[in-house]
Amino acid sequence: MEVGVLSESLEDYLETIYNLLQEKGEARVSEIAERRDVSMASVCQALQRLNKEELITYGAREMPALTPKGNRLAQKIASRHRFVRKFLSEILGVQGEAAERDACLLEHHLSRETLSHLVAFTQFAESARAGGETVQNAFRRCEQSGYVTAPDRPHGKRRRRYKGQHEGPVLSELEPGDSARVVHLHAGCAVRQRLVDMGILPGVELALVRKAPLGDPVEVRVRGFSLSLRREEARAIEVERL
Amino acid sequence: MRRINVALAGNPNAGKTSVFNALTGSSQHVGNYPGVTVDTVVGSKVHRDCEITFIDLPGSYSLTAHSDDEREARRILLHNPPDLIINVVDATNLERNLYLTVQLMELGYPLVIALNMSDEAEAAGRMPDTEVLGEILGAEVVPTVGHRGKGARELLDRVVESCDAEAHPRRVRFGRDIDPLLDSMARNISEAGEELYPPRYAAAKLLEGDPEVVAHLEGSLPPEEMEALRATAEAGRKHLEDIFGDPPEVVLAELRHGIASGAAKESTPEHTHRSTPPDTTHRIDNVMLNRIFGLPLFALAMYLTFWLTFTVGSPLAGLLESLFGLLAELIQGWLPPGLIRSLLVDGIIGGVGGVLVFVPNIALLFLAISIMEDTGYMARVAFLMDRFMHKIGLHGQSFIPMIIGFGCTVPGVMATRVLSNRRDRLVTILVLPLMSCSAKLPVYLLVAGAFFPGQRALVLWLVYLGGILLAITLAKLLRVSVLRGANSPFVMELPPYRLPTLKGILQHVWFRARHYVAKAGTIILAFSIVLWFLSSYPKPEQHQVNGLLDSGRLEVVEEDGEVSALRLEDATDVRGTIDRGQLAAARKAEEMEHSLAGRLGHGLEPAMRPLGFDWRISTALVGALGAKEIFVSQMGILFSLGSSEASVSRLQSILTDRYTARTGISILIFVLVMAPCIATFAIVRRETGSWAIAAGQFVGLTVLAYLLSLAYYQISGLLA
Repeated sequence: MEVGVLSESLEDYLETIYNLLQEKGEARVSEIAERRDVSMASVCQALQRLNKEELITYGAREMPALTPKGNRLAQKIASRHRFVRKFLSEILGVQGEAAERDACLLEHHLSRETLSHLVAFTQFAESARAGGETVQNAFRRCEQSGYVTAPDRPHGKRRRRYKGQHEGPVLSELEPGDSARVVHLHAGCAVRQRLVDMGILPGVELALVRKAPLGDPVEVRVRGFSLSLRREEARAIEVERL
Repeated sequence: MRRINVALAGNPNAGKTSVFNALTGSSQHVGNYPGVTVDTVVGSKVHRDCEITFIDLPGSYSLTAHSDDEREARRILLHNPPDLIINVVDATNLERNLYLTVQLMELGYPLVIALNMSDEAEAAGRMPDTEVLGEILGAEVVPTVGHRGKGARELLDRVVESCDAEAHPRRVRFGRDIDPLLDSMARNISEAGEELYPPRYAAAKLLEGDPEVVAHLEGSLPPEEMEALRATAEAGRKHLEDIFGDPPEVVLAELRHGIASGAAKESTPEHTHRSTPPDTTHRIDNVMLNRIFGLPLFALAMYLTFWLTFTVGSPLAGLLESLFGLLAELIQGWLPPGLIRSLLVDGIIGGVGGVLVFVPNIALLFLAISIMEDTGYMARVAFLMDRFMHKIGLHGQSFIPMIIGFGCTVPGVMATRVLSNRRDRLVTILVLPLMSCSAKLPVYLLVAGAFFPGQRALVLWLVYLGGILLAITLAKLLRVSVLRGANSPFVMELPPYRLPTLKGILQHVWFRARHYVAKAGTIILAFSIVLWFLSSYPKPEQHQVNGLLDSGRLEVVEEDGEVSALRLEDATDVRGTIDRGQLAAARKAEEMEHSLAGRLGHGLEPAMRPLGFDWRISTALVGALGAKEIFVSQMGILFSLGSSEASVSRLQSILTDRYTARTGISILIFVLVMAPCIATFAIVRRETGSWAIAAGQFVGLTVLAYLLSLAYYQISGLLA
């Protein structure tokens, strides 16, 4: 199977599974959900479809594993991803997470033709000389000296969030007596669903009543009743202070 | 007569069970603790020519099926569709409770709302207007006070009427972006031939990607239609994520909460919307959960529980014990010696009586636990202890069962019912026997007193501590191996404190104590008979002592025409005397050695030798499978001392003569870890619903005991 035949999201799932297998030797549904920031239910659906395409083997109660066919495709997808990221960071000089994030978005939308031109350009930029230095370095120097202005980090319509990339304070940072409004839930699926069921949703006001004598869990007052949460669960609730 | 099936649904702690009791006149146990109903309970009532069957669903906050309780509630609602749902709603906590109501409305079955705890809401000035609320939801709303039976009659009337009128609740609307999508999906689902699940509900769950509903639809719909539906759902998901920036499950949940909070606001008096004054519960918790006093107060509560159970309970248990003794004597008076008498006295009264003796302790223990549960303190215990319990891979709610386990493992296992996660519950049950129960104490006292008379307290402390550490290690190990899995979230409600009613508490104690007697009793009876048989048969044809009498090496000395002693001449021609009691004891020891249990002990000896145990200890350990304290009486019998209390100190001196301290410690380790008693086996099998788990625990712990004793005995032998 060629890159680009699968839907964008299935390619992402395949890549996530491949990466997890490389890093940890196993790909748990919960971890896939966490990396992709989606619900376990969505993961299961995607896995069943990958299974149908014979790219992975996946049955009830077992962890997904790549078939040889799936492995080949995943390697292609992964190497394309690596290339796009390298292009963004090394040739264009896009910094840090932005390169990773945009590579995730870009990789699916590049036709094979554009991709092959980009590959050629990269080779050119790394090797060709312009005034005694590589094109790549000349570009970098120009950029730094202000001839070319690197644009600010562009903001998409939707802000994609990654785990650990909190923007505001989280519930566990509050002190007893503080009130706050929920901004976002970063929790994994099971905890998130539980929180949602108990009425902890973006926009809801809550107050930290007390911490347990051992420091954990904490008591939270929300919608007129008291709830106890472990700190690790409270850490996943991004809030703004009131 | 018409039949109506009614399901009772509601949040945990909304008073569902008390409404159920008021409706059916039964006496299920009610607690102020999330998750008291673990089994689903069914009751029925005849009203106005209708036979109404009520099924009390496990309490749930939502129909998303995250805990065992919620999954069970949902399974019953979807797979045995009721004619009508009674939704029990806590009037003092309207908004949160209505979230479930909205989901029940989505199912579309006729719905009646029981607005429970209306007296408390009234007192707080927060009673909603039932007409307005009923209008918004499209369902009859009846104010009730469950534990006083108020409103039950009217509720029954409304159930029959709503059922006749097929009064479906108002349709839940999610707005212009979602409704048309759901409607068209629902149409497709019903056209594709789905018969069981309400189509619009199934459509919403498909959009949310609920795995269980998806699996069900896959099974019941033709593949092409399912594929088309899946594609629609996937496109819908994408579309909604683009509009709202969140996946549909979050968007829909938000909208449901919006409906719930809107209905709550419109139906309750204006002034109650914002104010949440520091109420009584908050003030009590300022003390009970105080950073400094919280833990000492909990320790005090635990101390009082043990004081009640053992200090108050033991004299009562003693009374019961002497009653059984009296009964045994009566039977011995009536019946001639023989098979039947021995079965009744030694087997049944000894075995079943030995277990029933603990009923006062257990009833009092449950009294203390009921008070903690019904007031709402139990949830606070989990709150206080979760940090520690979480560290060892368990849950805050596992703490109470563990503590109870020091008294008796059986009620401890029963107390694990509060754990909603099955894995947490299993780990707790599996390690519970390592909390040394009170029946192990006599064994510890015997052995520690024999070999370490000076440091009894220290040895006991070490044994108890060793059990706790082993339990922690084992729990950790189980949690990373067989029972691996994500930690269950500790998102738990802290219910408001309530004053328990005497009736409620007594019902509670009766309900549980009855379980202990009835359920464990049947199996204990069976095993007692088996154990009695093992240690009584086969009988030796000829007692050696009788042989000695016949050969004249033992002679009877008479004084004043009464037989007072027997004279024994042993092989080395030394003459000795034994009295009548000793003769009987010698016979008994012979019988025991000759019996199946004795042979088993002999047979086990080669395997037990590396642990430092001879056939006598092995035989006594076989007996200890029935109940731990039997070890002491069996050792007494095997050394011809009889089983009376007075002989403990003589038994101890014999033990010190015969065995080394190494064997003593080996016994302590083995008894601490070995298989729990028969009663525990029975209750574990009942509570887990699995023979395999009960048997696995039984065998697993015994093997572990063997290995630990073996390791200790061999290593200490090498070092010495």
